[in-house]
Amino acid sequence: MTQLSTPVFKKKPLGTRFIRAIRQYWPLYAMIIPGMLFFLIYKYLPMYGIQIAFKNFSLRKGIGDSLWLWDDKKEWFYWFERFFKSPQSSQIITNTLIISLSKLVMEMIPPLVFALAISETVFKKYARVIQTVSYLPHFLSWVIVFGICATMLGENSGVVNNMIKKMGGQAIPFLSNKKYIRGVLIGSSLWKGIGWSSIVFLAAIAGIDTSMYEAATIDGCGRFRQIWYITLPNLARIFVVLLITKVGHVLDGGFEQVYIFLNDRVRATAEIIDTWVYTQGLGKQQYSLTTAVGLMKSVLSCGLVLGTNALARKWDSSLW
Amino acid sequence: MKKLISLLIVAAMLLGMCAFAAAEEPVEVRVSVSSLGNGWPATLEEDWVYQKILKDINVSFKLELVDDYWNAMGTRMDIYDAYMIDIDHLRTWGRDGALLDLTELKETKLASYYNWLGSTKLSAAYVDGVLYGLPKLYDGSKSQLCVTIRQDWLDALGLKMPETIQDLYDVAYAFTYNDPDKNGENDTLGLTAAKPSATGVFLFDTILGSFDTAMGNWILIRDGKVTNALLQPGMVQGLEWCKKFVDAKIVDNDCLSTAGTSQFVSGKVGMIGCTWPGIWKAYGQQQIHDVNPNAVTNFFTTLKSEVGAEPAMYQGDLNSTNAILAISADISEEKLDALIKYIDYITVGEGANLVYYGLEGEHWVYDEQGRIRMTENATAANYISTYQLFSRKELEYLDAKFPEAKMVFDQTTAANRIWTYNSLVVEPEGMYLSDMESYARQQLLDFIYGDRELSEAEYANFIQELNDMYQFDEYMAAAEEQLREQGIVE
Repeated sequence: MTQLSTPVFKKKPLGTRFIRAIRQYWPLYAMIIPGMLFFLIYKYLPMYGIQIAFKNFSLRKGIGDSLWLWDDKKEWFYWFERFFKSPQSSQIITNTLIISLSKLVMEMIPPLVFALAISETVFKKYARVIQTVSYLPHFLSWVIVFGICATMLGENSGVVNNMIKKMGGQAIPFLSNKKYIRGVLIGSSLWKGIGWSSIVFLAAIAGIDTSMYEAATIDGCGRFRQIWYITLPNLARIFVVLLITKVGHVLDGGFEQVYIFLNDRVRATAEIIDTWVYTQGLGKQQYSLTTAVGLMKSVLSCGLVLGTNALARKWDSSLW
Repeated sequence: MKKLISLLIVAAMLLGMCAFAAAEEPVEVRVSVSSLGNGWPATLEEDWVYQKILKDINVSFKLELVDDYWNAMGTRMDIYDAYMIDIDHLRTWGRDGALLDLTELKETKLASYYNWLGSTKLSAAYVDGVLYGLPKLYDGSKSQLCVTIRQDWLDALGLKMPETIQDLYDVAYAFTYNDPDKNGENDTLGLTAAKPSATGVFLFDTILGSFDTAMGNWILIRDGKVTNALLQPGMVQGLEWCKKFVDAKIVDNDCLSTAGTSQFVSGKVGMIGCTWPGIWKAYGQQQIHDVNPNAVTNFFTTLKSEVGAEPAMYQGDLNSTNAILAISADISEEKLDALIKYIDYITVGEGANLVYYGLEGEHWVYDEQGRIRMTENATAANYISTYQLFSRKELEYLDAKFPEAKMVFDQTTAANRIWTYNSLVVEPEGMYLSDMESYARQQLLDFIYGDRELSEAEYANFIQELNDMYQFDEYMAAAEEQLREQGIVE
């Protein structure tokens, strides 16, 4: 007796589904391969080297054969301890946090305001020119930005100080004074990044349904109320997504920039973890020490990203 | 069709990611260097020095850039047969067993090289008593620092060349406030520095030299005893003078963060502590005269000592070098012989002339007095200096290359320095040496700029901090012990 074929509701095994999906969408899957290879080669394989954070790394023996710290009569956290016991470590950590948290705020709020200003400009041509001009600094390297800062802020012949002196004031040592250097770091970072960072916000603003504004206008909302009740709530999600990705870099502080701006007059307030690691690790060949610090930074950053995301989930705007 | 296109895109992306291995040469010696000369040829075919060496001694001698030591250590180090490294790396790598022990070879295969080195000190090439390096030749040329000064400004103000620290102050003061360029504006300064190192304290070394000391952790030998620039009796007095210069606003504070060279060249500052090449080579002089055709430069190398020591300015280290050739422990006999063949080739005669100056007749010729003089094509030979490795008779070389600056390098290379011995001392285990050094420099600057009270008592507190926080005293004890072991002090 033949049974009537009933529609199959039972799910097929995962393997079969996977193979079928690959057959059906193979061009899409194929296009993932280069990206996956990239991450495999440049992000995952190098993790093999993390082990030297727990080893007494010897050049001759190589990564694999160097002695583990506990085989070398040392505690497993020897290199971590070495970082924290450095008389400068607390100062360096404080500097890193102050500089990068300030930068975080400066990379989020001013670009948002800037994007709002651009989008509210009535003369669209004018807005477009401003927008393009504001992108340009993003493409300059930090060496060039430092050159510009030196020309603008130099104590003797800097443009700003010349103006101050002409007005009868005292020259301000922006680049060689502990008090001012953080401001210069944050300010130059803002100048370099404001246009570029605003692109995301501008894109999000362009995606807002215009009928909402029309409805608001009919209801009697002015410009500011429209921003407050329509634009900003619509940007909240993208804002949080950006925040989550940026929080992961809080322990970085921007090596490239700080290293160029650093000198002995300002080291006390401007030295960050990465510049310290650079002088210790590459200058003094303490590869194990610097790997340990790098690993610690990565773990903490990962925790921060996960934490921020969990927090964001409460407002239903998490990244995943 | 879509599928075909995406397949093509994927194939193209994958191809792009593939790196093609360079074709191998049958017999070759590969040496890693941390920088290559200006205008380094893109291919070996264009590299006429390489080709000449290949032809003359049948060695395929390849210099390769390792701009990142991590690269060299991690994955690629084993491909090199020898490395141009500094003392720090020589020590670490030597202790790791990565370098060939040259102690025996010194008497046999490398005998001619070590003989050629003559009186050059070998201390720096030893690690724990084992010879690991071929150090750079020392032929009487020392550090090349001097203070370059605007002679036309001195003349305009009726001043003499400074001879004492008070003169230096007076000249710097006059350069700042007496309008030396006569443009009616108060827009000049007295003293700047070209910042040849990244430490940014070079400016004050110009002043501290008169007090027989220098900015920072510099190990010195005085009266047969090991001491430190930080512990020199004239230090506080020297810092007071630095402060006096700063307070009078006659120094260029910007040179702590950026080189002061452009300030000097553009006629904004009248004196600059510098290495001579930047200012005195034909190009530098040209720049100065482009700004002001009437500019006249002069220089001095030392000032009279205020503390009864031999006049000296700026520290120098006869043992320190960032150019030691070390050979890989894994090198094959065949390659070692080829490398030694190269070394013998470039140290004397035709080979030496090739790597110093280029090809005879093309890049250089002998003049009537039998001296080597560069031709108009000499710039094409700018890149070859990397081939010299460690071997260069400096004064002979400079005379041929830069005859216009002969007077300056003759005097600067012969000038007395505050000789330091840091490169021969290894810090005690667990000490944070670079942290200590940067802390010391920061505090010295704080004293000078008035962020910290400058007095004998407060300075003593500072030294105490160094001892408590950074084991400075242990470091100095280790220095004394090690220098005694090496026979530098008794």
